[in-house]
Amino acid sequence: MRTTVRFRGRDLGAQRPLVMAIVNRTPDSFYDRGRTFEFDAALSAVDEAVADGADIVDIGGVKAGPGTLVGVDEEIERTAPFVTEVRRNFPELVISVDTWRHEVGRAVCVRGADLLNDTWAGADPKLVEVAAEFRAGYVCSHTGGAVPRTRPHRVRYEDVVRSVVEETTRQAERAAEIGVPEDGILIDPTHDFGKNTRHSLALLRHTDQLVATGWPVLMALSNKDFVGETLGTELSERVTGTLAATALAARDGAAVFRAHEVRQTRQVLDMVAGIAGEREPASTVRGLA
Amino acid sequence: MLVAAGVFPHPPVLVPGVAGHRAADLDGMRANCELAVTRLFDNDPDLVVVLGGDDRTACHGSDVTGTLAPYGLDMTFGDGSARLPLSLTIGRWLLESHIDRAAREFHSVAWNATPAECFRLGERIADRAARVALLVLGDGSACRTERSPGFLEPDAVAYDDHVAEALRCGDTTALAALRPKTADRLLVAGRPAWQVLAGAASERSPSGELLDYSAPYGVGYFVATWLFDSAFPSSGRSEPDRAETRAE
Repeated sequence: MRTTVRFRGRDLGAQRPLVMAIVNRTPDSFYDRGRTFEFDAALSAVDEAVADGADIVDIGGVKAGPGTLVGVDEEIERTAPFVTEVRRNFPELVISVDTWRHEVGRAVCVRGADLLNDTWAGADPKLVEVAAEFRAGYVCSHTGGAVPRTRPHRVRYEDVVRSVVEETTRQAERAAEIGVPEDGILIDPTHDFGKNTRHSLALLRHTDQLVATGWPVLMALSNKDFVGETLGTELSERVTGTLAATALAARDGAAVFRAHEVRQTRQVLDMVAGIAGEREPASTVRGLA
Repeated sequence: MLVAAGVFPHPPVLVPGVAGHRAADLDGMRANCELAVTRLFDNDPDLVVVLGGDDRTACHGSDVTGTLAPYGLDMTFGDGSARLPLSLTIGRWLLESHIDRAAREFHSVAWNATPAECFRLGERIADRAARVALLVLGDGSACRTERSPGFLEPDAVAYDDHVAEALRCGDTTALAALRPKTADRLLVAGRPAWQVLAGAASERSPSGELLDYSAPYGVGYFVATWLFDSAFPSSGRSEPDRAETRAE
């Protein structure tokens, strides 16, 4: 049963799983490799994502993996003015910003961001306080304690699913306690972050346990290494695997899907909803004329 | 007294079933590991001591189980009551086909043990039987390239080269002098275990051979054997003092 999600008054309901479109203002992110680094290219990417059915755009200013250092000021410069422009173009669109730094969180919330996607699991504990201050949404992640922008190296868990459930729900409860609106809190198992491929697959296999926490589950699966390793494919051939994972997680009740391929993801989610009887087919003339 | 020692890598991917169709990447290294394990037993040890890094220093005895379950893999080696850390789990796996050839013990050394502590532990281990063979698990830097798990540290490859040379030459002094701070910064998992080896071999004249040194996944792996001319132990124990001096 999906619950209603709402970010700074923007109500996305509970009727269907949501698509969060990835728009990176970075020169070096692993998948888009700088394609939307330029301001205008990123704006076009938002236009396209909205046209393709995105419910949320998630704007990033620093690549997740290790690489060139990006300071706070540079990250703000990449994200904050862009948030202003996206807000101007799309007054009702839910705008998320992918950051672990509270200074960045504050700068983008001032300019109209609705949701702070804290992919590094509270590495900066002040970030959730910014979300509370602005009554913005907040994503509770799980990294196994990894330092931002580091790769997993021989990480181990007694029970990775239990670790994720405990850590993300602990963060969610804490966020709610300090004033983040409860219907704006998402939990994210955070595939690949502090996890090997088998850990990530286990988390998909047990999506139901994450959903059973009652917190809406964000799945950030798009084109990640665990897909590539599972299929033995390079970066350019991970979409099919991503969509398969998306379909199963949607069937098990995940609420939000962070995606590079917005249109395909929307179609998969609509198809899954159709199969589940949760969505009316777009048309049914066949055999009924 | 130490009669033989072998140095081995301990990544989970060394076990063939872990990496799927990429398992063949390490076939050559596995063959060298098998060669090095065989050499340990060829020296007729009374006791084989398996030694590797962990969060704490401990003797786990011989009634042990190694498991890769925390890494998402349903694989166990042995069925004893004590559960081994990763390094010793890989050591237990390396012994799988030799398991009944000699008595064995599994010892862990803390990642943060000082060089002097490691050295003394090595001396004690060497005294545990008349003929001790030491199976040492230790890896080099995980920061060798931009694709390494720990990304790139410019001095990582030179560090590993230095270790490889020490292992090739049986150079206990060089191993005892490795600095913990540098090893930690470079994500070197082998420093404490190699320094235990240096202590265990301190009264002997090791004849080293480096069978393998490579980094197919951006982490330095070494396979080496140290053999000893049992008739002529070398004199002096200068290394503990040196290790104390260099400890930080």
